[in-house]
Parts: sequence; structure tokens; C-alpha cells
Amino acid sequence: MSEQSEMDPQASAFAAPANRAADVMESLISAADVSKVYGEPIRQGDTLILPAAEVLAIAGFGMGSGGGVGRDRQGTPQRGGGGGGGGGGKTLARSVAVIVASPEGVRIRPVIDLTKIALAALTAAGFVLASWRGMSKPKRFFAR
Amino acid sequence: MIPNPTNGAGIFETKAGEEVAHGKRVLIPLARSLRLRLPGNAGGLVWNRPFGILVREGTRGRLVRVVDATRWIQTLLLAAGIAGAILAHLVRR
Repeated sequence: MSEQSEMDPQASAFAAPANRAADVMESLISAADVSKVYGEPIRQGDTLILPAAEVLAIAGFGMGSGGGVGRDRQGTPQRGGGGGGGGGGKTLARSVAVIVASPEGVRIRPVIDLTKIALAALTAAGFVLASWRGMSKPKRFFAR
Repeated sequence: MIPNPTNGAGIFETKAGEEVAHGKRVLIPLARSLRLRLPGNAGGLVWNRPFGILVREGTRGRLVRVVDATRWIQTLLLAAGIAGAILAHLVRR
């Protein structure tokens, strides 16, 4: 009898998604490469431009299986089981800077994301306002 | 002297990319990556960010750091917000 046929059906059902998750993890880890951060160099006359970005990749997986033994209508013992799994992930990329190399020298030109800065400013203002207003409210719990 | 970009990397791994020739200079892009892996292949995270450019001219080399201006401004604004909230709490006390 082969090793495959001796394997528990639950375990074999579990092996395929587990292997798939391992493959996805390997491809995720391979994303930690310099080529993902720097773009192709652009040459314009004497100037060379190299775009740089921040790349964040996140993935998560979960799986489970179960089984049990029961009896059918005839009273014969029956064994059954099942399993399932799922996963999700996201990749985020954001331009950070542009490297400009010219005969005068190498300069870094930062890329500023105004939307993110505006959101951070609003959040900061929210902290201050909430703290200020929270302190000015009368304490009604102990007034009566 | 060519600077060592792996100094102070901590939990980050510094990697060098393909050299780009530009006139008498050679530019070596450097990136830092953080890799976290949950046990049992349950998931993970990979964070890559540009670290700098190693500019080599003959035997001399210098490191030009890539500054993430957006991240710095965001951090400063949030720190100012937290400090402002604490200050407001102390003033109104």
C-alpha cells in the first residue's frame, strides 16, 4: 500500500491548503528585494532619475479541520470529516523620493504626500480639541 | 573610504541593488527590509523602504540617505497633537 493511501483523509485534505499557504508565504518573503523599492533608471541627457518607493506586503492565513465518528440510519459506524481555510493579504506602495543624479551631483528630492499630512494634521487637531473640550464639560455624575 | 550601510540596521536587513553607472560615478541603491513571519506559515509581513544611495567615484564613496519626508512630517504632527492634548489637559485641570 502506498504512503498516500495510508494518510488520514483529514490530513490529506489539510495538506493542500497548507502547501498553498507556504507557497504564498515564500512569494511574500521574496518581495523583500531592492528591485521592488527602486524603479528602472530614467536617463534624460546628462541626468539620471531613479524613483524610490516604500513597499509593504502583509498576508495572513487560517485553516482548520475536524472529524468525527457517527452511525447512519442502519446503525453502521461512519467516519467523516472536513476542513477549510482562508487567507488574505494586501500590498501597499508609496512614493518616497526621486534620486536625481546630474553632473553637479546626486540629490534626493523627497515626494511629499499632502493628503497623508493633512490627515495627520486633522488627527493632531482632533487630539487637542477632544482633550480641551473633554476637560471643559461639567461632571454631572457627581453633581447630584 | 566607502561607508558601511549595514551599521545601525537593527532588525532591518540592508540590501544593495544593481549598480547604475552614471558618468564617472556608480550609484548603488540600498534598501532596508523588515521581514516578520508568523509561526506555521500563518502569515507574515514584509516592509521594504529605500535607505540611500551609495555613490562611488573611484576609490571614494559616500552615502546619500533617502529621507522619507512624509513620514517625518506625519510623526511630528502626531507627536505635536499628543503633546498638545496633554498640555490642554494640564492647563484645564
